[in-house]
Amino acid sequence: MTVTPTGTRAYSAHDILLMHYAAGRLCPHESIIVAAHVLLNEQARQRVAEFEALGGQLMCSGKPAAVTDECLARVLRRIEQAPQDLPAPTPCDEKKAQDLHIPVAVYALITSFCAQGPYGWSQLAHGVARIDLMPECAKKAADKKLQLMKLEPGEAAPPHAHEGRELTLVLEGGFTDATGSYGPGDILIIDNPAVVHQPTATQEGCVCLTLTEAPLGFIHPLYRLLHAFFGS
Amino acid sequence: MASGKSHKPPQALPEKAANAGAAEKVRYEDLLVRVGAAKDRASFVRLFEYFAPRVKSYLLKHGASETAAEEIVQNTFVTVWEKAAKYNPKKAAASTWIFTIARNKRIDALRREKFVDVNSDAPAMENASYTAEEDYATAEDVNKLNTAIDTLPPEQAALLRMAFFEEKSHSAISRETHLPLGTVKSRLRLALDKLRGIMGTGDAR
Repeated sequence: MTVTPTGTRAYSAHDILLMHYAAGRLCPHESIIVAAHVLLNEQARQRVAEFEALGGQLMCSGKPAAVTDECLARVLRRIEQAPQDLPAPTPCDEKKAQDLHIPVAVYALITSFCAQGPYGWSQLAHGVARIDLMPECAKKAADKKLQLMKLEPGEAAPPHAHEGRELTLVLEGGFTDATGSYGPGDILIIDNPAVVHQPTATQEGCVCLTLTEAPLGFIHPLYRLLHAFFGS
Repeated sequence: MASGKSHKPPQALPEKAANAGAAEKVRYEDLLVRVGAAKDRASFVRLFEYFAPRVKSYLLKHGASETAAEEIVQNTFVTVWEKAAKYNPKKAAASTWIFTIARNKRIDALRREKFVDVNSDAPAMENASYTAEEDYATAEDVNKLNTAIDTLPPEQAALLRMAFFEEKSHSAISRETHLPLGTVKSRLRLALDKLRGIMGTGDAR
């Protein structure tokens, strides 16, 4: 299998992703995976904080838009009411997070974001399992898919290419592919359809959060067939 | 200075003008602290009067309708009131803190709009917040940043604004400004590097 080497882990793509996240320009699916990356990765957190500071300043230095009097009146009425106006934070189930091998903070983020909590793994191929997060939404949001993927120790995912952008965030363990090696909190951005990659888990195995924005193009005919039956 | 009224001397705050010597710039941080510590409504209203039109402008720029923008402004300020006790002026500028809340409210609003069947009432992005605990960009840094934005060459500042807030790719900016793509990228990088240098986080990356 020919694997195309690539430079898609370029800092610029990463910086731009973080900047767009900080500015509020990403769609909700993208925001959730970048938010998880930011929770896990100190360097990303620092970079996003810088961009947020920049955002605050650019927001303040822009031309203000008139706000109706009613807006303030409503806010004042709302803060007058019971202080617990907001729904209680989703109780976070540490045990569940542990069973899934994902950090508790990311579990809380996912469960508050998706209607369906992450349930059981479904086997995709030998040594590869996944959980579809919000499958209903995926139908509405074209081909966007947010998934948890699990590779058993040393196992490889089927080689595939991406028609759209793919974001892969390592939650536990790690993997290696033609673009490099990734550990907890690292994010791999692939936005080049020419890239074919085959992530292979390290000896600890690997649990990732992935967002694919178009159907995967599997290289092997058998996987294409499986894909036709079971979806991406 | 973020306010358009920077020619005015620092205003004494309504009650005790404890920080009479402090620059006007830090007032918003002080107001926010007061809201958090004493549930001070007067300070809250002043924060609203300054920030709400700016938050709204940001939301409109991102394509929110008039009604949607006002609703997100409301949600933002209700959260500002509720969370103000957690605000730490040593760890974030008021503008950063409020901007981040507004940004998260917008993401949650988009999520509700697009995906009715998701856990739509949960303020999901609140689980993504970390700014209360860490200190990456203090009010002082942000003031320096603001000065820096003012000193950027106008073409860099304009590019920065376009790249940051407007839904434009680098190639769209390139078409619009008639600048080669490479020039757009290198100018942006220069602008960001300069700002980063000023904020004291000029690591090589």
